[in-house]
Amino acid sequence: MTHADRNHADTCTRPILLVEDNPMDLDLTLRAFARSKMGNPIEVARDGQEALERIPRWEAGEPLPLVVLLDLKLPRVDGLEVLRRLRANPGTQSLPVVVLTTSSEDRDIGTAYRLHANSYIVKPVNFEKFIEVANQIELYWCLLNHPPG
Amino acid sequence: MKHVTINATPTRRAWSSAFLSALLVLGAAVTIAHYARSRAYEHERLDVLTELTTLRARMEGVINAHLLLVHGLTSVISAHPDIDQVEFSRICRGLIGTGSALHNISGAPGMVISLVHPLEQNRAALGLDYRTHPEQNAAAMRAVYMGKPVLAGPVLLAQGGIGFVARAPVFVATDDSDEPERLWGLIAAVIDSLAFYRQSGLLEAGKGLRLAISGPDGGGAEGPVFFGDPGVLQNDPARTQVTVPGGQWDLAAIPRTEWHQDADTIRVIHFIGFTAALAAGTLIFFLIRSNQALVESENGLSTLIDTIPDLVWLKDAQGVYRACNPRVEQLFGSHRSEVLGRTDRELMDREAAERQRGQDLEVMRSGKPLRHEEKIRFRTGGHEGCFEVLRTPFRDVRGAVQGVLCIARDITERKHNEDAVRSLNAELEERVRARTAELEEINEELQTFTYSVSHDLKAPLRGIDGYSQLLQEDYADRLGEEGRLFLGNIRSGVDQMNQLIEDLLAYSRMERREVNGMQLNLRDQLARALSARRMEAEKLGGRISVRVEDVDVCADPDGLALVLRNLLDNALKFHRPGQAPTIEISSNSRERSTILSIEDNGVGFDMQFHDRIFKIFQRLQRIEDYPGTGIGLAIVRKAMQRMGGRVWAESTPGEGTTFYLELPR
Repeated sequence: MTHADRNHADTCTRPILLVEDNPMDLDLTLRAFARSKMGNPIEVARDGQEALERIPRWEAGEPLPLVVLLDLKLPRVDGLEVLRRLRANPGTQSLPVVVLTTSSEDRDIGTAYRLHANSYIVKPVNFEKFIEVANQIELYWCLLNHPPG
Repeated sequence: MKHVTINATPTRRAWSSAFLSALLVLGAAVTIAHYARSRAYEHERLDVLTELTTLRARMEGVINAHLLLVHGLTSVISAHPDIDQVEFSRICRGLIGTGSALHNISGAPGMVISLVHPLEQNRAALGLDYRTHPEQNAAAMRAVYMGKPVLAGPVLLAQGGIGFVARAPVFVATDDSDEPERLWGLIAAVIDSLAFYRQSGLLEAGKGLRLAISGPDGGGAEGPVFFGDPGVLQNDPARTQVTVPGGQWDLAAIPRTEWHQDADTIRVIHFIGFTAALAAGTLIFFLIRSNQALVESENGLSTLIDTIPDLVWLKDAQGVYRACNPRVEQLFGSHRSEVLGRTDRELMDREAAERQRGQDLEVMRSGKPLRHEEKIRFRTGGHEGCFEVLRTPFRDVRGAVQGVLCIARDITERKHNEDAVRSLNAELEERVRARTAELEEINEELQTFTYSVSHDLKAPLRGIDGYSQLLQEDYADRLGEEGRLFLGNIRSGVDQMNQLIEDLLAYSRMERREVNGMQLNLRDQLARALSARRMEAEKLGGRISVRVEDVDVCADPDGLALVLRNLLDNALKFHRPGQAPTIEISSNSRERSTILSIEDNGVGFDMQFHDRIFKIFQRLQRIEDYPGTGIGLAIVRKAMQRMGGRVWAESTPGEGTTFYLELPR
């Protein structure tokens, strides 16, 4: 098995981690991804705490997600704090994190990038546009992007 | 009125004092002159009297000399009663020497003149009988009765001229010594008056004196004046009595220049006296005047010092109080007389006194004023306050430090005011701090609010939109025409709501965000804003023309972009139905700012709504005609405000609108 093949096999099986607390947003996001038919498994964490609890499991050998889609406004531990902890942990330091949120505040955008978010995407209210955004994300991060080793 | 009184009285007093002193000096001078004059008079009188005495002596001398001749003759005749003319002339010739004043001598035995010498000139006298002669009888008989010589005259002489006649009776002794002597007759000697006057020095004396001799026939002062000037007697003359045989003459004299002639010294005394009086008057006048001025100024000064609210005192080099004003009395609670002459050691407690002394010594040592603040408590009245004490070295005319002058001013009120100002400032600062904190809190809340708006309002909105689309897609066939219409309306409502939220967020962001002014090229900025809009304009068949100068303006790039975007969108949006939009953009630079104008040919608006269109949520058009949130121009105005510029519009309904942007350069 060549390096590229293994890499391809990885990208096909490695999940996308969606950190989202709003059930309606969660449902719509899952539906949007479902329509894209890419087939990467979607894992869901319903708040920041839950997302961080996966770190020991990843360290224990579970495959890292291809990308983390991170909402900012979360119960218990908020999104920016999750990002900070992921970046502080050597195992997740280079894990691609895409902030997917409703906030278009300069402050949030700035803080996110300072914590080395890989991308910052504002969820559109219009569902058609939202589906398109979902497709683009999946296309880019699961197919076009080479994840870190 | 008071002013006049104060001025008039002292001047009058000065005048009268000057007058009095002048009078006094003049009086003294007059008295001195008087005494000087009377002394001079006495002196003069004494001189005259001395001269008179000499004269008298000479006169008496001359008369006695002649009388001695007559006496000699009577002695001869007594011895030779029967003397004849020849003998008589011989004896007489021997008696009458040269230079004698004797004119002639006659002898009248038996009272009839029968002997005469010199005979030749006096023959006429022979035979004169005294007993019967009317003029000479009385004088002759007087000599006989008195039994001694008698001088008569002056008389007119029978042989001419004026002379004095000395008549002496001659007695001869009888043989019987017991018998009294028998009268022989008379001897008469005629003395030439002129010769007499010359010999006795009277003529000589007449040069310096005015003389008067009265009492012919030895009649004394009662008799008439026979020599000199009778007027002399009226002029208080010096007098002396000249004793002549058978009586006396009164010799009177005054100086030829009269008495009381003012001597030069008197004149000098008068002159000096008058001058001295004048000088004394003037001197006194100015002295009193300047003294009064001094007194007045001292009065004014002491009134000033006594009435000012400051404490004023003067201490000498030993620290002894030399002067103070009533405020100092109140400080010590004792009268001035008890303060002056004492030191601080006697007036206050030891510690305070030593502090005072130390400061005084420092001032005297350095020779420079010293200012400090001190708490002072008055014993009278009990007032306590903060005082500013100024110590100044006090110097004598030569500049040597003699003591310390202190002025203490009550600055309690000033202190209070300063404290009040300080506490007011502190309070104000506290309020500003509180207000700032409050504002910060409000700002924080606002940010939380907008954060919530963007998250919490948009999430359900997205749900509504998502599920209505899913409904539309998955259940369209079961909904029917009307159901699909409803869903379409729901989704457009969501759209509008979404736009509203976006605009609100943009507005609040513009309010909160930092504005960075920098130099931007206006033409570049405009081109960037236009690039996205040209397509839409072309779609509408419109035209955008730009005539903008190549200038830099000072603005925030994002803010300016937002402003241009909003205005261009408006210009495209509010075009008249059926009319392609035409937009003309131009600029006009001034010294400190550039005005950019964006002119359209759209629907325009009534200028009475000018201010309303820049307010948030204010709309002039129906939403179905011109969709929008009513926030765009409010954002424009806010952005211009934040960038230090301004925006305004000119419009005519149905013709078009021009928006003006003024940007600082």
